[in-house]
Amino acid sequence: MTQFIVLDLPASYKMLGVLRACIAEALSTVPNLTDGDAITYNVQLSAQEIAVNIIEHAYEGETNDKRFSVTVSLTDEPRAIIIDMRDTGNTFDPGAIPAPDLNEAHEGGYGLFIAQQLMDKVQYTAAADHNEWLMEKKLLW
Amino acid sequence: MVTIEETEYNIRIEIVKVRSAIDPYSSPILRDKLMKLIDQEVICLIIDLTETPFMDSAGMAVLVTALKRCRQGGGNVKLVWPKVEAAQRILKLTRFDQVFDMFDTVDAAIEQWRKA
Repeated sequence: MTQFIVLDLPASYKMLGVLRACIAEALSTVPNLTDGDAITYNVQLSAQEIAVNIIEHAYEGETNDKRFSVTVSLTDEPRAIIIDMRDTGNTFDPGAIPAPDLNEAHEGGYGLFIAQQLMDKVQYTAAADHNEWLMEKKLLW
Repeated sequence: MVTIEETEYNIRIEIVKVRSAIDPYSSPILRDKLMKLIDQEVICLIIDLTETPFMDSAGMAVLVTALKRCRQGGGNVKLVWPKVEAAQRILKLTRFDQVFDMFDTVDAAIEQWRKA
């Protein structure tokens, strides 16, 4: 069985708290979730980093005129949380973003790296009329 | 004749405690606070993340900006570990724990400056 939550958010940093709260609520419904606090934090952080990427790069900054959708799904087989984000802004080339040099501290460039490290899957697709970010994290119990 | 030489060093250390989530919405407030301190020539900063519930890469960027500016002036930024274990793991994942001096408590961070 798959449970869905769908958000339709303006491209505004103010909405990031709503995104985090939604993910926390979804995961709170999973019974006997192992390492629940860490899983929740990691999924919240990953989703937020991608949402910020959408706002900053797809939409070139905050704007209430542009929106992006977030579908949060919980699946049983495999047991996982899936976050699907879609925007209609500029396309993105994940391959053009190098992994940060971890020997030095930088003022940017960690967002996609963090999401890729924390999630089991982070997949970007540029479709004809939208961009899609699909993220998956397997859940243990 | 007794010759006595006395030298006194005073270091101004500012402790900034962050009690809320740091994300792109809130990080400008933290950035402004830290930059104002540095503009006032405060170059020894302790940023206490103990009660910071959440921090993303926007928050981390603010820490790096403060670190660079303080070190340029001969100072430093010391961090106190967040209580939230998942947040600790992110600082390790990005190796911020290798770039910043990390401490379990504010007192331990102050003590290191006292010994230096």
